[in-house]
Amino acid sequence: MPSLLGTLTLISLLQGSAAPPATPPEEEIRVDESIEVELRQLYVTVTSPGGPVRDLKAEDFEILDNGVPQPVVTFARGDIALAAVLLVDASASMEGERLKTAVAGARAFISRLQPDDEVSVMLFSDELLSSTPFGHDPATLLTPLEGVAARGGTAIHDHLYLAFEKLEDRAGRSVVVLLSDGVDVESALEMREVRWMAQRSQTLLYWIRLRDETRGRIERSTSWRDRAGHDAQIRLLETTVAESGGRIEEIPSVEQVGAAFQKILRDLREQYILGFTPAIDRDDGTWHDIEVRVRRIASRVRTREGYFDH
Amino acid sequence: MKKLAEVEVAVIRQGARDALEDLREVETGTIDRLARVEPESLLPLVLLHAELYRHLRREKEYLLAENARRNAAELAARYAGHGTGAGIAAQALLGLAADLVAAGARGAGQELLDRALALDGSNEAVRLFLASCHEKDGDYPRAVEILSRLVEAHPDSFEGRLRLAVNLRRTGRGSEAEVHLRRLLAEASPEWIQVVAWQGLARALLDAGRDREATLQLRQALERWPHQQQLAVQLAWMLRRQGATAEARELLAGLHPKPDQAGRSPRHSYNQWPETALEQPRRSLLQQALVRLSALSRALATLPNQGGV
Repeated sequence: MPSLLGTLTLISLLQGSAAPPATPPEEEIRVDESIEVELRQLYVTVTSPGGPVRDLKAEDFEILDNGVPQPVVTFARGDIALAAVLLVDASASMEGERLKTAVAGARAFISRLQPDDEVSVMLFSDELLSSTPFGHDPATLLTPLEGVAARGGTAIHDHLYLAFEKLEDRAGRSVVVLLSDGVDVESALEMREVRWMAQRSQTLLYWIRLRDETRGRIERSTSWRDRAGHDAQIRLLETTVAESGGRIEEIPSVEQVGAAFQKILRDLREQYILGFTPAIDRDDGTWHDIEVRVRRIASRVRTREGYFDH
Repeated sequence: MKKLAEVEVAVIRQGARDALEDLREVETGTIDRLARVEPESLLPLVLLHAELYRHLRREKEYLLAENARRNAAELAARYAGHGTGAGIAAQALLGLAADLVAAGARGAGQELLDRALALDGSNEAVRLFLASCHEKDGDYPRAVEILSRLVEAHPDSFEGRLRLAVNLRRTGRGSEAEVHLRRLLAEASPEWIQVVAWQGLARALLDAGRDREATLQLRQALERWPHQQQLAVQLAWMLRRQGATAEARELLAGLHPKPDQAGRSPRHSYNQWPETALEQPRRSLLQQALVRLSALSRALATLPNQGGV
């Protein structure tokens, strides 16, 4: 998995050689030296008690890599193209109108995409039920999902892993939005294994957490895990979301899905994108803690919590 | 059975004070008398009350359903006490317990399963259900204990052997699990058992730091069952971990969604109650009960008229 996000090639412009030419020489461009510099990008959301803070400049930010300040070398705000996978739980608990409502909610996200954005929608239960190619036309993305019926168990971890893999070669910001109650039962992968993958990618993970109390308590004692085991997996999912720089949007019923998708899209549109080249770059696989601070105002900053030095 | 349900519902709906207690008293008295006159007559009544329990639950008559469950369990215990019917009584308790656990009443179901196990320790389905209860409670050592005895008594029980191996690994006995799983994979068992066994073997090897062997096993599994998505996911993740990124992605590119297929994934099957193990005991129990209908008829003829009830 490439952690290298950008390569800055230093190119020197050199004049042609020693003796003065009879005719004025054409300027010759020659690569004299090429140095690969690791450029890391951070997607940063800044909020204050009054709401999102949208008017910050590069100099307002301070990046700390393992506590060491790093200069901000690239800066952008808002509408950088994004590639997203919408990962929708279509297990038996979503039967009937619930799945239709959830898919319709995804439309709220897709219909507000910009031309350079691209989305893939994956429906899953204990198996992958449907997966669309990347695109941004709601009809193309959602029509194939209409005939899919909810069924079976729930394998969140396996499909999160698939979503991360699917985003590996996409340009721009990559985002996974998971819609589920979060109780994984049948995955072949443990959440710690998905976290391993998430920590090595730059993908933001958002979780629309369906807490529908009217549908009764969710069974958390299964043949694969007891209650404590399930709770531990859910906590690890929460940790992975936070580490990625994403967040959890809790909703009490499936009718709120559309609004939740919209909030997440708004969140993405209001992000700052900061680039830095780590001063300490050993390529030794160690974890680096990242902290981003805003100098100018009292604010809450959310971004990924670190990266592996690869 | 429907008539019996109607009578019981009517008694309760009359609103008479202590109506349910009166009903219980009459029913218990009748059971006592039948047991004395013709013990074999109790077996058809076990099935009748078990069926009544299911009917009343569907009708949301929970108070009466509980009464029917209690009667069925009591009848089965009485029948077992008669001496010759312990194995059959265990089957009757198993059927009732299966209904209870499926309805989410795991505690009550487990209690009946414990009683069934005491009556017939070699009953495969009782042990499978009980082990599943302990798995769900996270009591893996107890599950191993129950399943070890099951496999001793029924070495041909594929599901018993699979669950034993899974729980051995959970209790840190990976090398024993490996032996069971390799043997299981060498035989012709159902697809879901093979797939879960292969996944379990890969996990056991991974636990032991034998990553390459684990990868090899998953490759073989996927070659045998190319449509099994979860084998592909597990193998892709292992390849990714080993740095074989291109191969992992190529593997996942060939993953086909299953929009229309009914059926269950192997891991979903493992998470179900072992219903298939119930089929044979249920058939056998019904046959045994039908044979005893004449005994019930004779016994009923000896009873005095029950008047109001």
